[in-house]
Amino acid sequence: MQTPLFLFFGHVQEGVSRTSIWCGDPGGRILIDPFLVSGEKCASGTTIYLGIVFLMSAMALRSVNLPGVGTKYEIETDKGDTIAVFFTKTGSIQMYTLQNGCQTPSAAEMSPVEARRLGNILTGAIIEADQESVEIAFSALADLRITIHTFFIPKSFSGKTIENLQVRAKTGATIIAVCRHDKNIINPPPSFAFEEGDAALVIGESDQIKKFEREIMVE
Amino acid sequence: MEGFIIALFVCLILALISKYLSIPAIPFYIIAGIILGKTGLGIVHSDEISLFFSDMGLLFLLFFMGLELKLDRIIANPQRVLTGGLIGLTVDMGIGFTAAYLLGFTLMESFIVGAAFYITSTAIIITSLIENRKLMSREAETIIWVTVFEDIVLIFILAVLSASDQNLLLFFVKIALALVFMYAVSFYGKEFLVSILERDDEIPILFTFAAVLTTAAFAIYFGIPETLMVIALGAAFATTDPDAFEQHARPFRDVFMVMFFVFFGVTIDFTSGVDWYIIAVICTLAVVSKLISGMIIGVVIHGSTLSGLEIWANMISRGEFSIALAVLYGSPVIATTIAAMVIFTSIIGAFTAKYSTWMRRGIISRSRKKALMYHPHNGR
Repeated sequence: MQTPLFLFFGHVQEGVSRTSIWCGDPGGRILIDPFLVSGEKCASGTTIYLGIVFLMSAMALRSVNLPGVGTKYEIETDKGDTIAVFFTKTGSIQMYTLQNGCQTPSAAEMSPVEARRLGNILTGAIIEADQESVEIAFSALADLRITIHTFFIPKSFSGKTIENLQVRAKTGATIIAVCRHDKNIINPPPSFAFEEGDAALVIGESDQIKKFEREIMVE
Repeated sequence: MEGFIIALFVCLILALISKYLSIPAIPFYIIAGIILGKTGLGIVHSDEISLFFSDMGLLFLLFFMGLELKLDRIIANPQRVLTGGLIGLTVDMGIGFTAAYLLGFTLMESFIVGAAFYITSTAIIITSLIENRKLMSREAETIIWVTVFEDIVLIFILAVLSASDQNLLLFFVKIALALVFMYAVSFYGKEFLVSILERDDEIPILFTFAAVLTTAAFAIYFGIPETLMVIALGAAFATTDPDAFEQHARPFRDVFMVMFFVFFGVTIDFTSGVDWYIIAVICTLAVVSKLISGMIIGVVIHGSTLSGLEIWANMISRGEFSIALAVLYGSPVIATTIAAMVIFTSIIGAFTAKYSTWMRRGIISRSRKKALMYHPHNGR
């Protein structure tokens, strides 16, 4: 009998870390019984699904609503450092980090836009500082990974068209949008001529993006 | 009317300066009022219009306080609020009351001075906690809960002061009925209220304004204090969608509050019959008593005098509530004393709150130095 392995990502609870085995019947109804391991028998014909439940270990997330101030979120990391984030009523967001054993925290105040950017960095989406890059993975399509990267067009490019630069032929990547003076040009035609200061959105596999950076941008 | 516009313009400039220097604007507004009014140049006089605006300021201040007053959370976590709050109440109220009584105020006046002396400025404290980036410190949470406790005490003080000259039973029955009515409206009309607040035209803001004013008008008609009723309205509305109400009431509060402070300053007369000795004593004690209560709170809750120092540094400022008490119940002498105390403590408090981390660091490094210099075996 095959025992498919499930990974459940349960709701994060404070300070709990445990592995349990879940038992389910063929109808798909899952009986939650973490104590099954301790010698109890299942009725014959029951498929046993092994479900490993990782409740995020010891990551204590605390949220408090402070009257007059706003909402506070506090996370204590495994290594004992503390990070607190405050969404204040004035609209700004303050992040504090307190190193383990340290007395005074250091703080940073952010606007909502900046906070969202920081959030992107923390989730691993942005790779470089000023040029943003997003990688999307489609796990159903043989783990297809597509990267979208922004490049700022240097002076040497001004007047050149996409056709001149031979973007597709040299790198395989495609320029899908150009941002010029806060206006977006989606799907620029091959005859599109760049200007200095344009931001180009390039889409492709990460190798193609690297190639674009090496062969087109460096020239 | 011209005076009114001059005051408004001066306040705008002062607000810009205070924001630039990141110090609280409240003392500046009062000082502006004093300079423009009776004591100073005499350009601005309080008239019916200014009185109306000041009243609005007070009503919206209290309505806002009611909105923030989440009783369920206090009941869920009483120990935290009570410990710090009670220490502050006994120490500060005690010192303020005793000092005022010894300085020759009557019992009733001493009570008002003591209350104004005790209640810190939630507005100044919370803004300074945010601006000085101290929200994370464990003292910050204690401080916030202490201010919440003070708000509750203020309600009782208002009730006691306004009940003094009435038939008590009738008074409390009226209040209870009004409370029941307001909570019933927000309980059964919750969906309706929320649907009003969700609109994106002028209706939500109009509704908020009208609700506060109507409540005040009815309260006056029925002979119950409008201050209490507006707080109760805020607390009742807080059970529906407090954030929306805050958002719609904020513009009114911000503008009218400035008028409230300026015209409080205008009516203050420092030129005649002012006992500077009393003012000096009250101002000094206002800082000292917060040091004592802060130290006790720090030791009791956090087990550290350094925490106490931090609490003290952030809780010196008196502000809007002290002035509200002075406006509502104070005689001219009390009003001048409280005005001086608010100006003094809020300016001192701005600096202590800003530099408390330095103070703390200084003390820690000195004690470290002492520990390094300490050679127990040299003495033999």
